[in-house]
Parts: sequence; C-alpha cells; structure tokens
Amino acid sequence: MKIIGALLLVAASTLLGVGQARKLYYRRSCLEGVLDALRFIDAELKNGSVPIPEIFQELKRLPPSQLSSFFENLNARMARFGEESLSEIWSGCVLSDNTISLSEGQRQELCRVGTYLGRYSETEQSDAIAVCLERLGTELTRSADKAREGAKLFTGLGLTFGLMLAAVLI
Amino acid sequence: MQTAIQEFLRAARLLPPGLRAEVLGLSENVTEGAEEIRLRTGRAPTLVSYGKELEILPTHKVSASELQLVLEIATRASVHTYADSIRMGFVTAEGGCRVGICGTAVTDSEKIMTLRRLSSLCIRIPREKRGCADEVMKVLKEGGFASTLIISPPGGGKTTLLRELVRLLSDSGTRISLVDERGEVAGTFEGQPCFDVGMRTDVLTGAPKSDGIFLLLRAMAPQLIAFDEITSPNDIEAAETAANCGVSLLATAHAAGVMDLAERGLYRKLLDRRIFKKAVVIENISGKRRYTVEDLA
Repeated sequence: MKIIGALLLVAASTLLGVGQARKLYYRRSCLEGVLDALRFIDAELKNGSVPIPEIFQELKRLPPSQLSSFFENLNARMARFGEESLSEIWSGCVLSDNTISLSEGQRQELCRVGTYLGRYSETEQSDAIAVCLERLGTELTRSADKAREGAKLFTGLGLTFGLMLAAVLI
Repeated sequence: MQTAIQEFLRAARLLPPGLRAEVLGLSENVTEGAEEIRLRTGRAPTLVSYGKELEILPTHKVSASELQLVLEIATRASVHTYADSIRMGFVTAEGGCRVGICGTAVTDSEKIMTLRRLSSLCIRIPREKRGCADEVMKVLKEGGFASTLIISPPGGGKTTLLRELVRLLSDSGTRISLVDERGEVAGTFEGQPCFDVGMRTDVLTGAPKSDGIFLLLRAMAPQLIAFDEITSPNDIEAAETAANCGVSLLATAHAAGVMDLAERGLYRKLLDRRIFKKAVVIENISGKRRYTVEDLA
C-alpha cells in the first residue's frame, strides 16, 4: 500500500512539473502562431491588396490553432467597426484575449502593428509587420530556449520533489 | 428607392461616432436638402444644402484624427486598396458616397504618390431621384435618342440626371455600358450597384473613362455608353471612337451652358467634332432644377 501511495505521489509531482513545462511550450507555440499570422497578413497585403476585414476572415478560416479563438473574437468585434477604429478593435482583442499566452511586452508589440494596419500603404504596413516579426522572432528564440531548459528543469524538479516527499513519508 | 433622409444617414455613417451623433441630431429641415458634408481641421463642420454652405455644429472643431477615421471608415480599414483613387483625391465609399480628400501631397518626380496629413474632406451625398428625368426623356426620345451631353456647374445634379436617364433608357430596351470611374453613378459596392441603373446596364467601375470606353466597346457590345464628367482630351478621343463605331453616348460636362461650353478649349473641340447631338442644360433655381434640351448639331 505504501509503495502504491509513494508511486502515486511521485507520479503526481512529476505531472505537476510536466504541466509547468507544457505551459512554456504553449507560450512558444502561441508566439509561433502569432508570427505565422503576421506573415500571412503581410503576404496577403503584398500579393493581393486584400482588404483587412477579408484577411481577418481568412485567418479565422485557417486550421484550428492556439489563435483560433483570438481571430473569432476579432472578427466578431469587427462588427463594431465605425464605432471603433480598427486599431482600437485590434488592441482591445490583443490585450483582453486570455486564450493566447503572451507577455505584456509581446502584446504591446502587437498593438503597435495594429496602429498601422489598414491605415497606410502596403509598404508601410509591411514595414511595420517586418519590425514586429523581427522583435517577436527574437522573443521566440528566447522563448524556445527557455521552454527547452524549463521543460527539463520542471520535469526533473517534479520528479525529485515527488521522490523526496515519498522517501520522507515512507 | 431611398429617401433624402436615408441617403443623408448613409453619408453620416462615414463620420466618427461623436461627430455622427451630433450630425444626426440636426433637424430634418437642415439635412433634407444636404448635398455635401464638409470637414476641415480646426473648423466647424459645414453642410452644403441647395448650393449654400452652412456652418453646422459651431462648437465642434474637427480634428485631424477625425478626418483620418472618416477615411478609415470609408475604405473599410483598408486604405491600401484605395491607393490609386487616393492619389486622385477621392475614395468612393459604400452607397456611392464620394469622399474628396485634401491634405499634404507626397510626390515622386512631380507625380502625386499619395495624400497625407489630411486637412479637409468633402463627403458628397449621392441622390437617386426617380422621375426627375421623365420630361427630359420624352424630349430626348423625339425622333430617336441621339448622343446627349448633360451640362451644369459643379453640384448642379448632373450625376443624378445621368443615373436616371441611364435607368430609363436601359429599362426601355437599350443595352447600356456605364463607365463609372468614381463609382458615384451606380454606387457599386462589392460588385453590386446600390442605385438602380436599369436592367440592361453593364457597369465598369474604377476604370479611367478613356480606357473604360475602349474596354466596353470590345467586351460588351453596347448600344449606348454612358459616363460622368468629360475632363481630358483622352475622354474626347475615346468618345469619338465610340461614336464612330455607331454607339450612342450619354455624358456630362462642367459648364454653365452651351455658350460657356464653347468658350472652353477642351469642350470646343468636342462641339467642333459634333460627337454630341443634344445637350441638357441644368439650371438650379432656388434649389429647384430646371432642365432645358438644346440641339448641338
């Protein structure tokens, strides 16, 4: 019985560690999703001069990802366009959406892109997206390193803590 | 068909929320005859009604960000898709509302690339006046319809009359191609004309008139080509080519009358070449339009 209890304790503690590690991976994949979406917007602007609301619709239709809910929310809020500017709608979604895991700085970076979307020429919008891609790209590299190191650390910590606790209790 | 108030409301939808609420609070007497809403930075908005520009909302001073927001609303947050028309100083919004733009021109080798730092906007309210051309049409059809030029000073109602004549001719059996360079005549939005321009009318939106005329001659085999505002020698060349192909024409030109038209270099050429056989002169008498048909040939 004691052994089963100890095993459960170790397993639970390890799972907690794995859970923490997954959060780091989730943040990384959110950031990857954001970068992909920005690249998609950039390509649509450059290749087809597509209106921004249509680009948002297209993003909503893309295969499900961590950003699906964000783009659904964004498209729903576009119904208020005219009452609010595009920049306000975009920022409102970026700052309020809890389904995407981004840091405050990363959200601010996205808000800055929103002030350019639909208001300037393709080149200027594209330049603003390029700046954002570069900054968030650096963040992604950092985030990937952090996720790799953090995953090992949290999983190890969870396992060690479980083993220690089991040893003490037994 | 929309009422004058509905047409005004459609134009008012382009305004930023705060200003829109104030404008919608104006009495119907003021808005009913509205032809344009004009916004200038640091000034109160004005309304052009029956040819007179009146200051409305004297306490509201229009800001540059409000002008920017009007442009954003008019372009559906996609200024980049309107780059060509912004370069020419206007965008056409939903419902055929034309927004004239004034600001700082960004130039490249003396060519205007775009307009920045907006200083003024002029929102024109398009009107659909069913029945306004009934009498004129009877006169124009006497002896068969011949190429006709509609003449009036700016804001005289040329586009409204053109739209109605196109509808009447189209519904009475003429296959018409309409070159709607600024999207004001048919008010095309996402491929669908907002105004009734007749069941046999094909609308080409956004193309320069001269190129559009050639394109339609080749593509749509029209019996009549209609277009708004002859403004360049290229338009006259294209109109002459179409006339030589046996196509009737219906177009508009800025002038006070036929005499005034003859005094202008560009239009003198048009009269000399006898491309148009008749003219409809529009006079604005205390807000009421009076139409006179004159022979040009």
